[in-house]
Amino acid sequence: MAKNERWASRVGLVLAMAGNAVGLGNFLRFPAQAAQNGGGAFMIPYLVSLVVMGIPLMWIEWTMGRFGGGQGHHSTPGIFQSMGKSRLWKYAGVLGLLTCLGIASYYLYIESWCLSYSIYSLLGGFQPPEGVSPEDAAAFASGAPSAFFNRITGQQENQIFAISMPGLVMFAICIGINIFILSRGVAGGIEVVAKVAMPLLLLFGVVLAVKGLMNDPVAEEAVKYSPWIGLNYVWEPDLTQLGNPAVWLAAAGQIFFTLSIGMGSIHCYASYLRRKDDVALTGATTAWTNELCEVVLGSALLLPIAVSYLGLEAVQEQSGFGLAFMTLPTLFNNWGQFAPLAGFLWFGLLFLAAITSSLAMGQPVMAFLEDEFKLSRVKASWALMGMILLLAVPVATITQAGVFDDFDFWVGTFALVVFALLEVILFAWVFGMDRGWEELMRGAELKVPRAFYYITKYVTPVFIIVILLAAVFKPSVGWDGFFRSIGAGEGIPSWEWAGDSVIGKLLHKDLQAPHGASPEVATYYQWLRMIRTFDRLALAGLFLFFSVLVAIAWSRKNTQPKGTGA
Amino acid sequence: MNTDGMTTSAWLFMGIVWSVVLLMTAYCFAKLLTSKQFTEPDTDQDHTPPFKVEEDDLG
Repeated sequence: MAKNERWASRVGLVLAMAGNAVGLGNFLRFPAQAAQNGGGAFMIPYLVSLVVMGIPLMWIEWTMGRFGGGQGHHSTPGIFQSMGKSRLWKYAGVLGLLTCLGIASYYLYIESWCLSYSIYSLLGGFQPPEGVSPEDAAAFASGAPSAFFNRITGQQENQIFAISMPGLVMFAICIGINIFILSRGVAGGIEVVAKVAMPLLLLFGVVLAVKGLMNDPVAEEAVKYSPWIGLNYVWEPDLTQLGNPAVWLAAAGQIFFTLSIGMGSIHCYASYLRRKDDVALTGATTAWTNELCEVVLGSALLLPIAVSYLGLEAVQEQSGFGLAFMTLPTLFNNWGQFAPLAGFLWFGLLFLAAITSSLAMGQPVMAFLEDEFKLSRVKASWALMGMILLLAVPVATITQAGVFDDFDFWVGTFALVVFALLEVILFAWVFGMDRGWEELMRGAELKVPRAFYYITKYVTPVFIIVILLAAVFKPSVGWDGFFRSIGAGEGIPSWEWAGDSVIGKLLHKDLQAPHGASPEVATYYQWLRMIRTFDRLALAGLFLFFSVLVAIAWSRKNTQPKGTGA
Repeated sequence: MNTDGMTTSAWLFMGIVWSVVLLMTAYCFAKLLTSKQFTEPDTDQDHTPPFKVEEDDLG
């Protein structure tokens, strides 16, 4: 049973927690966000968000998790209920299960790409065959990664459904690996993997970063620019952008992604601690280890390597995903005999970052089934696999219609912020900040500055509310355009919802056929809107499903004679 | 290593932030590895809940 499980060692716990936090966001999303939001201008709001939102939420989640674990709960419905008086809190905790399962369904898909790319790179699949002309070799090298991508995703232009047998097989293998590790338990599975994966990930990252930063445009013909231009772009401070609300929103959003807060996975891992185990120092260690992987390694890998071959402008035009999966394998070919190994290290790094995070997403759902329905670990892992498969099939086969992106928006972005707001209200205002602070400091081996008491109580909730409102009501001209117009004395610009705002998404503002589109294209967009409506209904259905399970579990508890139930 | 392309202000900003991150990570790990809970793990901690929760409160 989950309640009897414990972490085998403290270092293992920190590495597992850091593994949970260090994910694809550190190496793909962070450089892309930095590049799109003014480079150095992005870093100042990023660091402010880390201090006033990221670290307080990290401590809140660790403290809540340990508290709930003491009551026999290892998932957020039970943890929330143990801290709040109202019966409704357990339903708010359902969001912690929904986000974990929803994100896992598409995260595992990307994880399977990383595994496929890693193996294919090591086998030399992205290298041109020997004996071909330089022109043919160049053509092969530039087309091979996108051809491989289409092969494992089955994507074709203007096709809504995409089915690739090799891709589905790799996806199934990835799900199988995760389920197997989870079925081994917290100490025997997750902790063992974290102890191996995290040092390897750091090693892979350092090797690639050093090699990439040694690219020299003077000594090597293929290198066109200094890689340090890419690093300079991330770190050149542009103070004029500090007044741009869009940059602040992007930075705060990145903090959510990178620390894996607002998901329910930290609560779950922390619930396996004992009552007097420290959470202050271990929580801070996790946060700073994640920052090391993001701010240091994340900024020194993708952008510098890509900029050295393509130039800054070309790199700015591409997304993090495009650069990572389509462009970088080609660029590694310039590294001669080291190329297959470089590709293996890069995609291996992404795979390790992804698997340590996906394990953290699976564990809360398993713990919920073990705690509240007394399922054995093996049965819970099978149940988890069934749920992931149900969600994963549309993600993997209707990718072109944006099911993948839509899941990412609703459960991977919006739900995180809502969940974080609920938990900070529960912790600081319902449970009470004084009790919460006492809980945080129980067994603490780090003296948390008293300022965090006030930051957690006042600043963090206000910060999250601002982010939430800005995401819900974003105008089509963007918040920077909106405030610029007011600042210039032009008044409030005519209001239209942005396609990427919460309301804009609900109204399908991002899925309108272009003016003058042919009937075929208009029909295509109609299909897209219908599919998006169904995938949202599926997520709402999942929330209802977990809510019903919670209601059943608690009604059973209430009908059990006292002293016999959890 | 040819570091052309980095401006002084970028070097300065990166240096400060990387130093803070590296120092904080090193400080936390050093404190963790030398902490009492790490060197003398307390194996007989009680598991009683810090705040007693009545069954009725569980909803």
